[in-house]
Amino acid sequence: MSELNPHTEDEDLQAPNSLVEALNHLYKERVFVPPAVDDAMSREARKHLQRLQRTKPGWKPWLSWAAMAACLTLAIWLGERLTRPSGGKSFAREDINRDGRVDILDAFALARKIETGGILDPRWDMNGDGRIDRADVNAIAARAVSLAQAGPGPKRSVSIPARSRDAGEENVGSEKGPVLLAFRICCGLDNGDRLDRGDEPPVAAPGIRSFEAGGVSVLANPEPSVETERARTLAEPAERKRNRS
Amino acid sequence: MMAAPVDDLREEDPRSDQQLIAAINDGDADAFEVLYRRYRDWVANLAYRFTGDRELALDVLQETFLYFLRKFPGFILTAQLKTFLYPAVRNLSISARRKAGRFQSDEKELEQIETALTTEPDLDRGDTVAAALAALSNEHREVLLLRFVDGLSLAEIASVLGIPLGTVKSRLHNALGTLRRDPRTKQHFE
Repeated sequence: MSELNPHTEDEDLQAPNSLVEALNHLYKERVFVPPAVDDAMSREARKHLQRLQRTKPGWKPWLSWAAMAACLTLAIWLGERLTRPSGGKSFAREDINRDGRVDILDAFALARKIETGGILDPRWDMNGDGRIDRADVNAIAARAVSLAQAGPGPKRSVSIPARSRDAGEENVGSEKGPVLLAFRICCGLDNGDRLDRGDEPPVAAPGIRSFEAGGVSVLANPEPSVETERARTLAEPAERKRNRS
Repeated sequence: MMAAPVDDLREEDPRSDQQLIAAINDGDADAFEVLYRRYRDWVANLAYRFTGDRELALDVLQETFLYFLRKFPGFILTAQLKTFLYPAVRNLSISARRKAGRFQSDEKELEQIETALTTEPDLDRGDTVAAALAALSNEHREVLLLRFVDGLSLAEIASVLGIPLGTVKSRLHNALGTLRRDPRTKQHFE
């Protein structure tokens, strides 16, 4: 409890000189430090501090400059890579959606961009008439179909019911397939009068990339997409009409 | 080994502790040696006060300065160097005693050793100061010795022991009061 007493006057805390002398005499020079200890300490100090001196001027500026240069290079490389829209990959100009292949979805993508007034790349002028319009959409669609015809790999085909095949042979002709027709209707590029005449677009089985229709091989979407579903929906009334008759 | 005159020169180096530490930070080994010479005996005696063994005290001396050396480069002295060295010596002494296994390693044992050293008879002087010190509590004796033997200021003692300044003053006041009343040391106050 006595420690809690406040003592702010430093005069109270002074000891008489004789007492200080007695205390210092009591604790004076008890340990003799041999020269070997001094030597050991001196050696350790020199070793430690020389190592610091050796490394200090050499590596620091060099390392900082190298690190700065590396950071700068990395920043430039990253900036260039990130600002490139394709992320470094090159795509065919017909590959509008940049999925790595030219198919009917690219034509649909371009049609949608034209319809919605999206940003149009000058490279998408497929027919070179100076404008990007439906003709370019047609050109991409035709290209998609012709790519499927000229594909080097083995074509997979699916058997189509005779009725559908006959209808395809009868009606496809120069238009190169009912999928294209359905697509054009879907995009608003065609009024669908062919379907009204009773044409039935052949539909590939799910997961089939291409199928034979009208004597040509037509690319189909690997997975049923929104666009394909829409084309199918538009084609359904014709089938229902046929069933009724 | 360095000759005695060189030692004298180093001990009389006019540079302050701050200046020497700045030089050590620049890799000056001589500056470290000057500081070592300046505080060597104080550290050795303090270590002996804590360990009660001369060999252990020498081990603690080396360990303390190696610990100090490893602080470079980048060491900044914000108070007296003793306030940095004192806790190091104290803790290394406890550790050395623990390793030696001669005594129990807790601090109470350490204080008992300190008390025992204090009560060693000083035959040359026939002094009874040591006996009077032994009668003080450990806390009071430690503050008294830090103030009048080690020469630390009250604020430095507070820093070293990690206690408030008011507590340091209170302990010192009580220690001096006890010695003033003690018949063995009463004559120093008259």
